[in-house]
Amino acid sequence: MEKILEINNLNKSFQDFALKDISFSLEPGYIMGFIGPNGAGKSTTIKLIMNLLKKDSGEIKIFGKDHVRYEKEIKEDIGFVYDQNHFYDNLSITDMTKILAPFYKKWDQARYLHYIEQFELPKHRLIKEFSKGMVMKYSLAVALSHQARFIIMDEPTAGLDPIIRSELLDILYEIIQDETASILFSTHITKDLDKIADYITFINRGNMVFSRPKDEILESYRVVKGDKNILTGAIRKKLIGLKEHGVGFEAMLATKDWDNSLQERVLIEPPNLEDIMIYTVREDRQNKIDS
Amino acid sequence: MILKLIRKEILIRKKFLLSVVFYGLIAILASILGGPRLIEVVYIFSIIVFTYFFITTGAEIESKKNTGVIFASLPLRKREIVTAKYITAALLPLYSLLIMTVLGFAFTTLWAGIKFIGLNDSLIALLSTWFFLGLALPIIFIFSSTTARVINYIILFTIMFGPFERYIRATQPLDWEPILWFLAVFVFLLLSWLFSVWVYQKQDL
Repeated sequence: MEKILEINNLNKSFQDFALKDISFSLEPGYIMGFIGPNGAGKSTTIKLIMNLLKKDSGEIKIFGKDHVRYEKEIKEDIGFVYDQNHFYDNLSITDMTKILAPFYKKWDQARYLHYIEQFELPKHRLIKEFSKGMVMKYSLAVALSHQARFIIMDEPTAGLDPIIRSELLDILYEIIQDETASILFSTHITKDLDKIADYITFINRGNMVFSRPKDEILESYRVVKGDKNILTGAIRKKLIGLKEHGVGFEAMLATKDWDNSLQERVLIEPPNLEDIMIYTVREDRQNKIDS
Repeated sequence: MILKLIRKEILIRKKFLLSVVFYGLIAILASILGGPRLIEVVYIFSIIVFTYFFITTGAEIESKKNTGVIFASLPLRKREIVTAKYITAALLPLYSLLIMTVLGFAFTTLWAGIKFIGLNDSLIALLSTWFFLGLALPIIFIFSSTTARVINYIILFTIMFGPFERYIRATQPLDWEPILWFLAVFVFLLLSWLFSVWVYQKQDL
């Protein structure tokens, strides 16, 4: 089946930051969590996918088509949730929708009104009077109302209360049930991805860390905690993001590097995505300082 | 798609479009108080100044929220976005001309001291405003809204008080070749549009 998104060796340089050789792909019917710390390059990658930024090199295909050459056709089927409020402040959402809806051939007004009701958004209040969460909900309502096959969300849950966040996750789960739509979900709230993501793409300082199925990632690592006196040179080399405190330590260990001699001497815990992100970034920072 | 974009421009600028009536009224009243020198040029200057404010305040609104991101993520070509901006801006002098004609008609009926907008005034107003747009719009696409406002302010005043004003005052109706001038300004606008499309397509949003 044709991939929803395919990125190969994507590069983009700025004066103080560079996105280097980013490659990953997304199949129909899946949710991909796109994670990384602030400034890792998540928004830059998303803007490159949307052709809001011009790539220096590499290839981006959406629905199997070049994202620049077939831009207009492709964007008919993309729902995009922005990380900021780009709407006209002095308009109500009713007026803003009057502007946006006619551009989509498959605009579904009934579905749009359903989401507006569900998110309890005031139809006639000016957008400048909206909270950040309300703007995000409106952006979501628009993105979900034109039968998009690919939903791109740049930090959609930032600023949303836990109830709406939970509702959003349920909606996203419903959307992918027909196995034709896919979602790329950039966030630093990895807890949301623990619930719904099928794949995780992790970038750090503009570099790919991994892009793999979530369950496989969670199986690939373990968090280990123990007494500092077991930290030999060989063990230290295997540990990721080692943090020493008092007499103890904590770190992450790849399961392939597991050493049976540790079995009795450390506390082993399965990691969540946040652990994996934190330990990996810490390791990267330590390596940067050492070099 | 271009018509939908023009409709969008009208929807977000409807207050400005309505305020043209008010500012037109103020301009005519000011010209009456300012004497014959102002009465002579009030129509032409008003139309070009309204257009200046229309495009610069529009650029400020868009730059404040970076609304370009929304339209660049819709199923639109960047060329269509630029084209709609040019068409809307080019229609604004026609709209302003209509308003100033109606206001001028009302004033000349009430008071004979003010001249009615003539064919020559109308043609010069349109030509000078479209010429101004040919220079001003690429500047808006290249620079930030604040920088563009300053540069376009200088261009506006150069057009209004430079050789154009002397030409307006010296010329008499129909002693020039309006068709050739329209053709020249049209070609200039076309080149300006091509340049703006090229700039916008290369731009990071």
